[in-house]
Amino acid sequence: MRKYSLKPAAQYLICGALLILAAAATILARIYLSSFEILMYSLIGIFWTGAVLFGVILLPMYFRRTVIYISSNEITVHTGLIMLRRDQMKMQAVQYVTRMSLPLANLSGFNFIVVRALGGSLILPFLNAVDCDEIMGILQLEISKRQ
Amino acid sequence: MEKTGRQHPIRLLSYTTRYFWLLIIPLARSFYSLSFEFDALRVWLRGAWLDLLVLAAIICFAWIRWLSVWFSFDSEKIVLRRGIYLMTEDTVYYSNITTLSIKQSIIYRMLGASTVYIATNAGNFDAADVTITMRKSDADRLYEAAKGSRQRSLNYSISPNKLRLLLFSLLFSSTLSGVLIIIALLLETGEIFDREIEARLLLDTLTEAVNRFARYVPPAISAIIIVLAGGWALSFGSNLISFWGFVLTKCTDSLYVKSGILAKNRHILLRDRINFIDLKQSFTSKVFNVSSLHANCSGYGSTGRNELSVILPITTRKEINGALKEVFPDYPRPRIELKSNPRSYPGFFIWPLVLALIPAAGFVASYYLLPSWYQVAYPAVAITVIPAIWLAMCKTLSMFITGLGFNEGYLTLRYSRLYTFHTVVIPRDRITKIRIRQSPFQRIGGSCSVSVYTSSDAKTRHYIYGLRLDRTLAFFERNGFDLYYTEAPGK
Repeated sequence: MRKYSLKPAAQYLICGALLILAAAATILARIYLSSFEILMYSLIGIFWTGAVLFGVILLPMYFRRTVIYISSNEITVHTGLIMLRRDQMKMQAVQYVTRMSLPLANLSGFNFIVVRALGGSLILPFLNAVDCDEIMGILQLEISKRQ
Repeated sequence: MEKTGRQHPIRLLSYTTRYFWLLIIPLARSFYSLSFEFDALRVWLRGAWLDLLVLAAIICFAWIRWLSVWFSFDSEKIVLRRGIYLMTEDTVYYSNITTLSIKQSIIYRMLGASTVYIATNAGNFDAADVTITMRKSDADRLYEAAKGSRQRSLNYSISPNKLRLLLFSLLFSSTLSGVLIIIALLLETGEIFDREIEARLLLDTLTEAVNRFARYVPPAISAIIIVLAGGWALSFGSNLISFWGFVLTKCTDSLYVKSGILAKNRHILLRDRINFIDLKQSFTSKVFNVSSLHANCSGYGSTGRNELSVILPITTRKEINGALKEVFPDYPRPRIELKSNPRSYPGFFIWPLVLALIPAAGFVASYYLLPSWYQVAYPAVAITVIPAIWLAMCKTLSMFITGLGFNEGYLTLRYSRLYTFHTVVIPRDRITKIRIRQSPFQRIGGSCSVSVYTSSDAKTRHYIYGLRLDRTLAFFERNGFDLYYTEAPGK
C-alpha cells in the first residue's frame, strides 16, 4: 500500500489568495461604504474572520487530515473539515480515470484525479505532480490488467 | 431472417415541437368557427397564412426526421440507423442487452404501436441506450428474437393473487407517491403545453373542488384533504393499473416481466446484470409485514418518470421469501449483524423536528403579523404537522431496524429513507464505494454514518445512520474493506 499526502504549496497558495481577497474586499468596503461606518466595519470584520478561520485553521486541518492510500485492491481517501470522511473504492469497480491539472500545477499542486466507477466517483485532490503521475500509472495498470 | 422497417408514424407527433400544439389548437378552433362561405375561408387564410406556413414547416421537418430513422433486426442483433447529414449506426447484440422493454400506452394500443427501450451496461446514464417506436407486429418479432437468443429452460413463474393485490393496493398505497405522479404528469404536459395553461387548469380544478366542499369544511382544510385524498387515489389507481396481470418468469439466464391492464409492458432482464435487490415497505406495510420486491438493473424502471423497478408487487412476506428463493437462489436471507448505536437515537429525529418547526414558525409569524388569518392558519398548521409526526413514527421504527450485515459475499443494508423502509442485498462485486462519515456530534458519541454506493445507471447511495464507529470499522475490515487509518501521513 502506498500513502500520499497533499502538496502543501496548494494550501499556501489558497491561503495567500484568501488574504488578497480579504484585503481587496476591505479596500472596496472602505471606498464604497465609508458613509455607513457600522456596516463597513462589520463587513471588514466578517471578511477577515472568514479568511483567518478558513486560511489558518480549516485549510491546514483539511490538508493535514487528507491522506490517500492506494493498493492493488483499493483506493482509500481519508479527508474532511467538519465532517470526517473515509472513502474506499475497490480497484475492480474503477472504469476510467480523469486527470485535471491547472497551469503551473507542477509548482502549485493543483493536480486532481477523478476516479470514475459505475455509480460513483472519487476525487483525489491537490496532488504533487510526481505523485499524480505515479497514481495515474498505478490506476491505468490496474485497469489494463482487467482487459 | 432479417426484418427491416421504419418507426410507427405516431412517432411523427413526438418529432414536432410544442409550438405545433400552440399553433394547431387556435387554428383548428378558428377554422371550426368559420361559416360555410368562400369569402370567410379567404379572410381566414389571409389572417392565418403565416401560422399555416410555420405549421407546414414543423410537419415537414418532423417527417424528414421520421424518414431518417430506420431499424433492422435478426436473430442476433438489432441495428438502428439515424441521421440526415451525419449518419449514425448503433448495433446492439442481444447478448449485451441488460434490459429490453416493450411498452404500449392505451393510445399506442389503439394505434398498434409500441415503444421499445434497449439498455446495456454501457452508454447513457439513467436512460435507455436505444429508444424506438415500432409497429406492434415488429416489436413482437423483436421480443421473440431477443427471447430466442436467451436460454429457454423455464425455472419458475409467479403471478400475484389479484384479490390480494387489490386489497394491499387499497391499504398501502402511498399519498406521497400519488403526489409525485401528479407532479410527473404536470411535467409531462408542461413539455407539450404552455406552463401558464397548465397552472390555470390545475388551479381551476382545485378551486372548483374546494368550492364544492366549502359548505361542509373550511376551504384550507378541504384543499389539503383533496390533495391528500387525490394523491392516495391516484397512487392506488396507478398501482392497480400497472401491476394487474403481473407475471414474473425466471429462466436460466433471464427474467421476463409482463404487467399492466390498460398500458401493457413487457421486459426481459439479464439476471447476472442485476446490481442489487431491494425489499421496499411503507410504515403500515412494515407493521403488517408485507412488501414489494425491486431489482436494480440498467434500464429497468428508469424509462418513465413514475416507473418502478418492481420484480414482485406488494405481497405477503411468505410469498416474497418464496420468490427470493426461486428467482435469486444465490442471494442469502437478509441478516443484520451491526445495529444502530443507542447514543445516536436523538439524531434520527432531526428531520422530523425541522419539518415540524417550519409550519410552527409559520404559525407564530402569522399570529403576530396577520392575526386575522388565525382561523385559517390554526387548522392548516395542524394538518401540515401530520407529515412530520408520520416521519417521526417512521424514524422511531427505523432506529430499531437500521443496520448492516455481510453474509455469503452479499452485503445486507436495512435503513429508511423518508417514509420508505429498504432492505437491500448487494453482491460484494457490485459495491462501488463505501463512505464512513462522522459529524462533530457523532464524534462525541463515537458513532458514524455509512454510505454504500452501488453499480448502477445513476449514482445510487444507500445511507445508514447512527452506527458505532469502532464496530463499523471492524465489521468492514472483517469483510475485506479496510477503512482504519491514522491521520499522520508519515506513518
